[in-house]
Amino acid sequence: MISGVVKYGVQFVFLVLLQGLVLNNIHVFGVASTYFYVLFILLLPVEYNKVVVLFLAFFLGLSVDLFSSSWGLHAFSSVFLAFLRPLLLRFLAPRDGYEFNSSPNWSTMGFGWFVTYAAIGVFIHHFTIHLVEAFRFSEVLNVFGRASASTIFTLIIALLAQLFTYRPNRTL
Amino acid sequence: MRNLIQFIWRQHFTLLFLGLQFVSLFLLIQNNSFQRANFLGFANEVTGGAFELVAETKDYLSLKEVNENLAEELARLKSNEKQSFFGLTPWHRIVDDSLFGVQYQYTKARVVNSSVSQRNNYLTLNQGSVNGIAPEMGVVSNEGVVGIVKNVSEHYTSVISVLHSRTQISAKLKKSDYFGVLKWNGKDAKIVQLSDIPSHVDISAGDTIVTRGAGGIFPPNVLIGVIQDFKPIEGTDFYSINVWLATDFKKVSYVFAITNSMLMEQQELESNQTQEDD
Repeated sequence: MISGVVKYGVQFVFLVLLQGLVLNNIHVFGVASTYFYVLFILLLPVEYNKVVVLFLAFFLGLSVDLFSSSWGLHAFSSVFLAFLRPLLLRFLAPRDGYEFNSSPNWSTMGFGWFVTYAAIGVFIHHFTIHLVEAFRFSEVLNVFGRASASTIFTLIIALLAQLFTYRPNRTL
Repeated sequence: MRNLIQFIWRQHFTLLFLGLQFVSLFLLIQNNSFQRANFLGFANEVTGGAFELVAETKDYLSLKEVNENLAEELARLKSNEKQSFFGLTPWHRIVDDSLFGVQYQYTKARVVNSSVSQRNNYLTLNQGSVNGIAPEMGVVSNEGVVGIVKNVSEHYTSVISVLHSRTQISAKLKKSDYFGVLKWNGKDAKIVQLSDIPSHVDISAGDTIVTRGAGGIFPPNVLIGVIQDFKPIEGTDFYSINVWLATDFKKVSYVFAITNSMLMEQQELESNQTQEDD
């Protein structure tokens, strides 16, 4: 329990600093930017208390906002994603349910499942960010394009990051 | 009453979600007004320190370019010096300084953080209220217009870039003095849009666009950019004009904040006028 708190605490701080100091400056082909920190919300264990996840998402978003001078924008999108996460997990649940206390990542759930899960989750989040940022429905096509490009970019980084922790044939 | 408590207990997740969304939205909307609450100034101070560290390391990478820019600027200033002029008239000219009061003062600042990739972009400067910077001051680089000061803490300043959905700058054609409004459509960080130029005006690609200086935020005739292309908007008497920005927001590193010592006077006068109209 304590080790879990420390582990997620370190992850939290690391992701916020990575996003605020490095990833906010990366911008591919003038369309794709990444909000990689969102993986923190997606990778929390399946049974994690929903209310705690909601609060974590709020403070995660707020911390990133601090670095982006965009008060409330990231908090709004992260909380929205945290709210939809239980639905998404139920929708994608395998036939025999999730492993107990497992993080829904590449090595526990397999490649295909993880990509589907991450793609939907990341897209919800990125689309919300771009839409709230533009705040106009007249830009909705532009927003859709930018959100899609950013989602693909974030997914690539997410898969690369997962390779570091990937353990095939994990003992059950 | 018991029903209410039961309802809250059953729906606590959704209610909490709505509550947090409300807080976020509140922050977002608060943030849209020009003067922000004090605690945001505090946040500026905290993250500003982190950004400064990063910017210091990044400075080394752009040293060459910055040096070149400075050398150019120096050369320009040197050629304006008194010694570099040759007297064509045999007599001395008397310059009466009391004719001119200083209206615009420039404060140098370094950009410690900036973005170009968002729909709404900001810059953070390493000078703050201690150095005399105040909200709604104009910010320029030696290439051209950069943005408008939004929020100031003791040692840092956050600036709304020209690349922001709510930035509107009064701009004019240098050639003919026709003026319009400059906005950004969020697509390309190098191109902004100039509207309200009537279609009977003679313009061509490459024409220079400068500030009009109407609001008192920027001095008149500060370079903004050049016309890239334009076309008349069908059904109206106006052009839609794309302007290629003079400032490269991807590498802007030193800027100047502009103090207009007569701004208060102008605003006071203008607000009196609108009150009388009402």
